[in-house]
Amino acid sequence: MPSDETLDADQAVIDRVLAGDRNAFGILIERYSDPLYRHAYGMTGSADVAEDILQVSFIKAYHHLAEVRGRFDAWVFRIVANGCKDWLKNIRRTHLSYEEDDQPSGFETPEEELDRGELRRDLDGALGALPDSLREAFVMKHVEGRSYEEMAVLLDATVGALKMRVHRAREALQKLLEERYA
Amino acid sequence: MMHDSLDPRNETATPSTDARVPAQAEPQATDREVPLASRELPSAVHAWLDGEASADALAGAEREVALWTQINAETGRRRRMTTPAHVPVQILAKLADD
Repeated sequence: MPSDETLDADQAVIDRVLAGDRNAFGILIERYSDPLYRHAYGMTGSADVAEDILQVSFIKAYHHLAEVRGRFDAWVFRIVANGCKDWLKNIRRTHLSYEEDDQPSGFETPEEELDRGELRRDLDGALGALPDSLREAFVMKHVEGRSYEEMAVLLDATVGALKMRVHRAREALQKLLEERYA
Repeated sequence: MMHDSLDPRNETATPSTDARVPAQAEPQATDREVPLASRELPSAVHAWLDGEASADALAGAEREVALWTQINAETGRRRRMTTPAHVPVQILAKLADD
């Protein structure tokens, strides 16, 4: 979770952008794009789609920056999260596969990219079978490494409710993956 | 030009910009067409995965530990993913074009 100093620094950057310094927006992109990219990738299973959602979300955030009240990181997270949910709704409507994209995905090293194996694909497939709310909670907890308390702030839900969602997601994944991997 | 309100305090925000979930209304699996199959996990496994207990408390859950050790390795790898370098550049370029 960002420190108070970071939140103050965010507001200072926002003030600069609103005063006409467009390039200062790059500071906010640099500060928050990685966790948001991981969220979009985790939710969609597609590097290309995650990039698109990130671009559209940051551009939307830029144009609505004057509306920020409180934490910028929570505000921009909601834009990205909604972008993911909208994409998931559309892809179900058009019957496209959650797993079609196999583009380079921003893993740190070429070795990691090459090492993506069957578990990666099977995990993507299993995540795609979860209801959005469970997938979102699982991705935030296990992929993004957020605490339940931070998730509660970002999703405006209780810690207890989020624990329940994560537990249900794990139990569904256990059922879907255990025959092959346990 | 119409703008969505992105103020999280704005109760009139459109559904597409309002991710809030009422804390009391825990979502059910209604956003999927197929009922979700699952297998109950021992509470010790959840506690371990939540970082609240050590692996020492997991006797009898070897099957679950085997699976989640592999899943944790994969999710840990995803946690190190970074945004492709061209993405921030493209965003700023698009803003400059506006």
